[in-house]
Amino acid sequence: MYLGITMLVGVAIIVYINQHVKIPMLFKRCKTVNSIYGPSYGYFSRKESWIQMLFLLVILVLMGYLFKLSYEYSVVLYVMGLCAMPLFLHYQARAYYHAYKFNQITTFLQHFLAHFKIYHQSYHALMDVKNVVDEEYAILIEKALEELNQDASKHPLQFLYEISPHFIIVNIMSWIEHVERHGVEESYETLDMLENDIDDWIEDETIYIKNLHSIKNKIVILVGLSLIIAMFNQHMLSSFMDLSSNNVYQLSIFVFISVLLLTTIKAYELLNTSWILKSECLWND
Amino acid sequence: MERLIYMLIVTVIYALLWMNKKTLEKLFLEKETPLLLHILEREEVSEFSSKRVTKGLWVMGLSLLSLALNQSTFVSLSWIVIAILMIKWPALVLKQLYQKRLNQLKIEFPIWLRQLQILLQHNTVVQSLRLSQSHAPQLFKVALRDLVVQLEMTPHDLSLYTNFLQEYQSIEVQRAMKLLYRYNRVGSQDATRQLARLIQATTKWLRDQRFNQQSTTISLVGWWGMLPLLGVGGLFLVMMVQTIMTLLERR
Repeated sequence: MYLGITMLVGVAIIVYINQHVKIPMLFKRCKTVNSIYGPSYGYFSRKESWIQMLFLLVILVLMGYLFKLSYEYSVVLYVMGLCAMPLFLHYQARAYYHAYKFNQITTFLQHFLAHFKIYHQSYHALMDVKNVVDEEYAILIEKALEELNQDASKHPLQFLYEISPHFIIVNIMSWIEHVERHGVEESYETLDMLENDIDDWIEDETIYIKNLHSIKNKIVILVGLSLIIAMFNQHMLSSFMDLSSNNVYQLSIFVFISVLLLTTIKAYELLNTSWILKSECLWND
Repeated sequence: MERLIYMLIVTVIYALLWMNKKTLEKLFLEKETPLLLHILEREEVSEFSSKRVTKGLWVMGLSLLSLALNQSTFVSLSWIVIAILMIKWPALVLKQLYQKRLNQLKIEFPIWLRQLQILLQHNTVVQSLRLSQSHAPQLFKVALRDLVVQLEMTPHDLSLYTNFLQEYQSIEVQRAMKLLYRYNRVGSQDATRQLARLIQATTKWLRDQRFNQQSTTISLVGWWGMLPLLGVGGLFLVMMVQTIMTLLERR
């Protein structure tokens, strides 16, 4: 019965993990991570990934040993831990990706508006901003410029709207359209408003993400603390009974460690929060 | 014999309830339900009330049945409570839906207002409203279309502005619409000042909404921190019981 419950908990966690990162991906290169670190990187090709994996394995083996877990439970625990590893890496990679994307978009918008103020022409502004952003976005700008050369009626910031249909981007697009049609006079007030909107956006999102990351750290610390308390509990009990042969203890400690693993996964999931709020993106897309 | 009389009285009361169904419908109808039904574009009030009271009465019939089957008073009372809950439940669902829409409006309206402010730089109010329709939220696209049509006929009618999305009773929306009306009415000198006020108000509104959303998420995810503590608490409890059992067995 105990082994049945154990298997059930194990399967449930593996199914949960599989929803986020497909288990077969463990043995392949993953596109999600590739898109951030470049085509030559996969889950297990990075040194840090190996080190982290080894570290988690050591912790799990140590926990199994210290808590006197039986061989069957220990094996299920190791499998669960190993399966969770790609998920941790995935969340960390997504955190970099979200920060990178937001940084690139806001940098682009700030510089674009600054250049547009001088030239009053989006084409020239785009040419100049191309040097400010990273290679990935520079390619997109290059492509947008090519499209503008072929079809001048196309909006110069359409490519950015396709990346993220945030309302600030749409407002800037709308403003540029009007300025190019009617002239920049009497529009400086709106420009100030747009620049302030971007500044507020950066400030609000940075604070929000920092708060989320600090919550993640707090949860991980609580996981560590509860492990220490459980250790004291186990130390007290070992003088009363033989823990390695006590089925209730074995099952309880296994469920407890599984819960801790799940909590840690949920804490790391917070890293996968987009800096751009979905509700602020336009509803008709 | 006593039981028979008791059953007879209860059956008569139940029959009376069915006969006075209309009165029950009126009794259970909440003050805000007709308005909510109208906003959410649901069925007529009479149909809504009739449906839920009928369901409630059928469930109440089960209470009568349990009495006839000589079950405990607790079971009969439970059925009555369930019947009342069944009558009240649809109204609660309506309220929840309305609240959801109101929250959505509070997020989407300032975003739309920001777009409108960009358009106002080079267009009149009516023209800006017309142009903003393409990016207007689904929630009030129809209301906006109607407003534009009416404003084209009577552009200086204040009630058209104040009546816009009035059903949601949002102070922020009312305030923004009044500012928009003033911007439309006043001379070009004062118009810049009015627009600046509108921009300032929208900036605050947008940031407040963003902050509200973020703080809701933060307060929700914070609860995950309780799980390890609950886990260790549970573990401690189980092991204590186990220890007591072992000690008792030894004795």
